[in-house]
Amino acid sequence: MKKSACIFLVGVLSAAVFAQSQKQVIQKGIEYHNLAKTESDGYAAKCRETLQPYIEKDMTARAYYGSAITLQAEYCSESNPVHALDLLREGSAYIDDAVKRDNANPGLHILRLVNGMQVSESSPFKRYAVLKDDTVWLSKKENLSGLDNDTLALVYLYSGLYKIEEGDIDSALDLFDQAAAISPGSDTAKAAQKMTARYEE
Amino acid sequence: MKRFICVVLFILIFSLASAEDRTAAISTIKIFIDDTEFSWKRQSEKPQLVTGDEPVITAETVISFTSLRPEKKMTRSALEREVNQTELRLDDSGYFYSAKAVCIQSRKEPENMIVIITVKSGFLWRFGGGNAYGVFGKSCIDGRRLQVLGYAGWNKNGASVLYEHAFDSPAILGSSLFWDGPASLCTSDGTAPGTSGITGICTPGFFITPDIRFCTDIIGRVDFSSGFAEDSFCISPFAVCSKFFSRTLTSVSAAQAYFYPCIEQNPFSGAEIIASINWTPVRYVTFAFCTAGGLSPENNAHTFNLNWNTAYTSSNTVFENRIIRSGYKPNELTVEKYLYASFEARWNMADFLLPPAFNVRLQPFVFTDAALFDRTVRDAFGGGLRILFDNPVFAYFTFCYGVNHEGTGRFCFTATKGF
Repeated sequence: MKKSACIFLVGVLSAAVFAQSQKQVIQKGIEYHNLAKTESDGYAAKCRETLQPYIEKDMTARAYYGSAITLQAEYCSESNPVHALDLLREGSAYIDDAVKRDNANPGLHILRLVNGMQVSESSPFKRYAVLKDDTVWLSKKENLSGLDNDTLALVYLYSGLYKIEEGDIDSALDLFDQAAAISPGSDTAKAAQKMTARYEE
Repeated sequence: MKRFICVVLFILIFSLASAEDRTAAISTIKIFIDDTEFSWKRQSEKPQLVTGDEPVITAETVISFTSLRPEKKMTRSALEREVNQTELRLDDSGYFYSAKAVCIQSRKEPENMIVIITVKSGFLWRFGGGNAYGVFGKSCIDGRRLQVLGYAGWNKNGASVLYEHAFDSPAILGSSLFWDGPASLCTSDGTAPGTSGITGICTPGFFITPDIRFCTDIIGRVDFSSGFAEDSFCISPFAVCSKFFSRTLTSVSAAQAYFYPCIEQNPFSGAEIIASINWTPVRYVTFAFCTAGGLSPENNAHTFNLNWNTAYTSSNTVFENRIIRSGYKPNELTVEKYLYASFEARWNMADFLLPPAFNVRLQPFVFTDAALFDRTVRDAFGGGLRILFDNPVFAYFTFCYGVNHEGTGRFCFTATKGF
């Protein structure tokens, strides 16, 4: 009995350790994703490499893996736009699939909103259909509970950018004001203020 | 009482109508190109750089797509319409990945309006192809509306240059030089040399508005075997109007005349007009209608080819689609005057990636063409498939098969996306 209890405990502990280490690895992959700026820094490739083992089990890993592919698309958009389009489609498919499989996760909707706006503005690959769903989903208060102020500011900023695309300037300006108010001094707030200045004189 | 209500209603409707169409002045046009901001406050001056580096595409290029100007006064409804059309023109130019134009009321001066144009530079290299030739070149060279294309292949070799809004003016300068060989060196059975030559076209012109341009094709051809052909020297003025009513409703109309100065008796030899409209009521369905007419004086040189347009004119994109797509012989569709109408119902079926990574749209369609000339109706009914390679490739292929009421059919291929 003791032996089986020990085995069970060891099993639980190793599963916990494994889960902890998986979480850490995914977190590391997300850090690489957030650091990626140029191809030469290699972070987008490192992000993909790090997250690749987890993309079937963890939807956050899958979404960031997709987002890293879209970052790589940006690197080759000038030299090989056809390949860039291919990467954008591939990356966006991973993100869409992650959102579909874990639809209640606000982080995935936010990632898709931010990524989709950037992709739509800087490529012929338009993501406005899914962005509309995300802004509607993120406009519901119950879906935003538990998010910190910086993340909320990001939601307001990108929802505002989408509203501009829709031609609803008043709603966009309201959202930019909310973004600036909820996280004063942050980069997101500065970007929101910049957008407000652009549309007000 | 009734009279009172009528008067009140009249005043209400009148005030609503006048409020809707109140005149407003544009105080500033803000232009954001990538991360660079320009501000345009005076019509007599150029847009001023506010923040950022000099962008890939110039602010002058962006404003060439709009008739909005600072200090310009117009009704609010007209302003909103033009802002909307500016956005559609910028989108259609192929220069930008995204384009947005909005107008807002100035908070400091509520009687003034501010126009904000935001664009992201797109991919400017161009590659495509047509019937047995390939095309490669670049658009928006030096950030301006300057395009250079090179053609190489079996039946078209050469180059074309088009500079719209040349030197920040409304002027258009275009020119091209083509050799129709080596295909033209062979006859169909490949035994004897055919007629081969070089065609040169010079196309000066100017924009009347951002939608309307007036140009003149000056066309000359030198045949390798017989030299300069006098009846090939043609001066052909034309006007084209491309109108964007909305994202789902567009139209193109054009008029063109043909003069052959080397023919002494009567240099004027014909004119034709064309108008087409495209309507996409729902995402997957587009209806397109085209009508055209041509007239040539009796006993004169010019004939209109409704069979297959192989003429090298810079206005080809407008007139090359007015063909009868059924099994008539070429001489049955070469006419001196005609009336033409065509209708297509298109199904925007699929949008997918073709390996290695070409963004492709598949568009099956059914069509009916009809033309009236010499008191005879020539018609066609059929269907086909378009394979459309959009941005960044810009190559279009149409395959179709049509039969006429006599039951004779023909397979057609054109390197266009239809009217």
